Amino acid sequence: MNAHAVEIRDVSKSYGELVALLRLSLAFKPGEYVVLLGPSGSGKTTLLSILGGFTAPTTGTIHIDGRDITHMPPAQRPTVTVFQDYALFPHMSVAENVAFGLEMRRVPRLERRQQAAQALALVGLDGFGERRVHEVSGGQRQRVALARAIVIEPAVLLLDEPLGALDLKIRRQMQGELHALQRSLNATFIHVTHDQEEAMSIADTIVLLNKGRIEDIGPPERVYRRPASLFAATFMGDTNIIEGTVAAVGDGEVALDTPLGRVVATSGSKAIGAKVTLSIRPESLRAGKASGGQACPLGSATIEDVVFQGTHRRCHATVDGGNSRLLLSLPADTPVPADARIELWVRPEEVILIDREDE
Amino acid sequence: MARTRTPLLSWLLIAVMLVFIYLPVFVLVLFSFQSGDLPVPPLDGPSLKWYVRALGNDRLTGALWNSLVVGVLSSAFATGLASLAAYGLFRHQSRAAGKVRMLLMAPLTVSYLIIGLGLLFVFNLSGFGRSLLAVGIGHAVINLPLCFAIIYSQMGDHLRNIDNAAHDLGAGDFATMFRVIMPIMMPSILAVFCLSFTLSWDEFIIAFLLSRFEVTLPVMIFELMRAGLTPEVNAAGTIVFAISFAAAVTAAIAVMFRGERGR
Repeated sequence: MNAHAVEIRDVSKSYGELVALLRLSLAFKPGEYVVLLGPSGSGKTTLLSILGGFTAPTTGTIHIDGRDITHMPPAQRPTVTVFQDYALFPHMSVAENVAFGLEMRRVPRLERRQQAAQALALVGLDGFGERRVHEVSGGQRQRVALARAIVIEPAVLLLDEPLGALDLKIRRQMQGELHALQRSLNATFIHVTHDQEEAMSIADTIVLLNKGRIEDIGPPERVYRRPASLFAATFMGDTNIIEGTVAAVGDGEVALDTPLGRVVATSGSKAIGAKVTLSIRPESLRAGKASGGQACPLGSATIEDVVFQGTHRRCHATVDGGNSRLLLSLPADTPVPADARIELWVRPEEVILIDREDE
Repeated sequence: MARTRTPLLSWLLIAVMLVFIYLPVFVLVLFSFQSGDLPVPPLDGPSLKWYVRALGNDRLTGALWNSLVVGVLSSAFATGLASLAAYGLFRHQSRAAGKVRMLLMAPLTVSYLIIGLGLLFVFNLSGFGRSLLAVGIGHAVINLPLCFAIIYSQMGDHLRNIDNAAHDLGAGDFATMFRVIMPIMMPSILAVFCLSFTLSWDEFIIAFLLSRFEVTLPVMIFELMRAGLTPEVNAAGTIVFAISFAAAVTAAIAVMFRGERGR
C-alpha cells in the first residue's frame, strides 16, 4: 500500500520547444494542504491541469492512492478541479449546479438534493439553492464552485487560483475557510497561487516552482526562514541579498567577508574561500546596540527614507563606508526620522546562506 | 459648445440608400393592395381581393406549405448537424480538426447555382431524382456551412472550462453536450435556425433545379409571373416577405436574449 495520496513521478511537459515542466517528482500525504506557488510561467497551472487530467504529460506518471491515473480521463479520476473562473453552469440554479456531479453518478433525486443542501451549508450558502448563478456575488460563486466539487467527495481537490478574482477582505476570509474545510473533509487540497502571502497563510506544504522546476518544497516557515535557493529567498517576501566569501569555519558557525564587514551565520558548512550569497530578511536587521552574545554587529548606517506601514516601518538605509543599500523593517512603536544614524546588527541564525548558483 | 452638424450631403446619401433598399419592397407590398387588374399606377383600392385570390389558389397555398416544411426540416437538420460538428471541433482541437473546420466552411464560397447543378447531377445519376426531399437536402447542404460557422464562432473561451468542469464532474460527451453546452448555446442555435429558415424560404435556384411536381413558393411565384404579372404575385410576395421578416425578428430576439443573460 502506498502511503502517498498523490505521487508525481518524473513528469515533464513541453509544448514544442517550450518546456513547461521539467522532470518533476513530488509526493503528497493524504489530508495535506499543498500550495503550488510560483510566478506566471512557472508551470504551476500546467501541473494542476496534468493532475486534473486536462493536459497529458509529455513524460512521467501520476499515481493517486497507488493507482496509475496518468491516462485516465478527468471523469474517472478521484480528483475534482475548482476552476479559476469557477465555470458554473449559467443555465442552472445554484442547487442544480451542486447536484450535477451526483446526477452524473446516478444518485437518486431526493438524496441528491439532501447532499447538495449539505454541501451548500458547509460552504456557508444555506438557503441559496434556488438562486440563479448570476444572482449571487463573486465570493458566493466561488463557494458554489467549491460546494459543487466537494459534494462528490474527491480524494484530491484541485484549486486553480481560487481566490484570484476576490477582493482582499473576502480573500483573507476564504483562506481561513478553505483551510477549515480541508481539515473537516480530510481530503488532499492542491491549491495554485502566485501570491506568497496566501501560500504562507494556508499551506501545510509549499511547492515553489520556477521555470518548470522545483525551487523549494517544505512547510511555509521553513521555506521562508531557510529558503533553498536564491529564487526562493527573493520570491518568499522582501530580503537583502549580499555577496560574500567564507573566511573562517568554526563550531557550527561560518564567518563571512562581505561588503558589510564580517558576518557570522550558523547555517551551512562551507570550505574556506567559497563564494556564497547571503539573504537577510528586512525584519532580521535590527537597530540599536547589539544585545546578547550571539549578536553580529553590521556597523552604523544612515536612514534614507521611511514609510510607516502600520505594523512596521519600512526603511532604506545606507551602510557607512560602503554603497550597500539595505531594506529594513523597524518596529512601528519607535519613530525613526529620515537621516537618522543607527547601529545595525543581526542574529547569526537569521542570516541565510545560499549556494552560489553556477552559470 | 459647438454642436457638430451632420452635413446635408450625408443625410442625402442615407436617404438615397434607404430608398434604394426599401423602395422595391414598398412598391411590391403597396401594389398587393391594388384593386385593379395590374400592379401598376395608379393605385386604386386598397383592397384585399388579391390576397383572397392568392390564398384561394391551391397551387400557391400548396407551395407555401411545401416551403414551410422544406424550410423547417432542412433548417432543423442543418442546425442540428452544425451544432454537433461545432461542439466536436470545439472539444477536440488539433491541426486535423482545424482542417476539418476549413472543409466544413469552404462551401460558403461556392455559388448556389454550382451547388444546385452538382446536386442535380448526383441525384440524377444515383436515380434519386428530383423531388421536394431533394430540395430539402439541397437547402441543408447550402445552410450547414453557415450554421456551423456561426455556432462555432459563438463557442468562446468561457465555454472551455465549463466543458472541462462538466466532464470533470463525471459527465460523458453526450451528457455534457445536451445538459450543459447546448442549453447555454440555445439562443445562438435558435438564431441560426431562424436565419437558415429565411434563407431556405427565399431560395430559388436550387429549389427550381431540384423540384419536379411539388414546388416551393419562390418557384411557384416564378411560374405565376410567367403567366402574366398580376397583383396576386405581389400578394404572394408580401406573404413571403412577412414570414421572412418574422423569422429574422425571432433571430434578433434570440441574440438579444443571449446578450442579456450574460455569462
